[in-house]
Amino acid sequence: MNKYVKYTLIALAGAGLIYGGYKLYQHLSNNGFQIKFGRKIKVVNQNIEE
Amino acid sequence: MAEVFKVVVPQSGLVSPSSWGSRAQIKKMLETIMSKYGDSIKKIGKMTNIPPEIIASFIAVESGGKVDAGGAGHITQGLMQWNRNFAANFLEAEKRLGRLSKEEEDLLKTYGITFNNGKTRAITNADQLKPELNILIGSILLGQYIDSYFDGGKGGKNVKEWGTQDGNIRLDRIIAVYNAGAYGDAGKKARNATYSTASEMAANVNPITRSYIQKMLGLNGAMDIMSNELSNLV
Repeated sequence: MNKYVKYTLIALAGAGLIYGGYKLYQHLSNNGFQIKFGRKIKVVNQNIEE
Repeated sequence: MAEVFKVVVPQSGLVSPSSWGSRAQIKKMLETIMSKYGDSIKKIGKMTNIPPEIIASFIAVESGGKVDAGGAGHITQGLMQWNRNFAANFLEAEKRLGRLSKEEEDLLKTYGITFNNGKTRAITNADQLKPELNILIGSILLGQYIDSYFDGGKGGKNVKEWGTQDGNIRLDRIIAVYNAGAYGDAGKKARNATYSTASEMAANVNPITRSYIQKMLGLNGAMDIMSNELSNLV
């Protein structure tokens, strides 16, 4: 195989691995319970002096 | 560590319509809502992690605190005016997404709503007329919108964050989707995060949704009064 083709394929495989790893991280970190209960909502009235 | 979001009221450029009532009248409505349903609102607020001010304000805007608001048998009848034809779908989504706490699931169970392989029964008109259950289901739905889900678990913050923006809860967008549906003009504008402020959003949606946004977030509106004069009730 031509070396440029080989390097291109290796680069593409590497990019694919990185992208796949990112999507897996995204999936694992998209914890529904954590999203719902990990937030705190504060109601602030602009007309009240702190 | 918890991620902190703010809801700032009253929103600039928004005023509650005088046709809805005077400040004193809306305050009286909210006091009545808290008197009748305050215990449930506070309990469910903790369960669903939504401030009671928001839940009480939604009840005021959607039904005026009337348990049977919307007409006998109507698909959205009840305190929080959610559509019972879609309720099972978004409850199943809440379960599937891992968002349903044990406390929420136990409370649903007391009303005969359980899950079997992730599926639950159809929600009935009789269910909608039970105040605590209506508030629980409505608050679960609100929570999904806050976290940018819609239509039974589609979307989410990792897809497109529309329920929040720069550390603020975009209640105007949430109201638009809740009131006008996810796929109508107002709902699409909300989910596409088309407008950067609530007043811009209100100016560019249909008059009914606009009035809901104004009632909820405007000067002399429900959230203004709840947070300014009735904070002792929550």
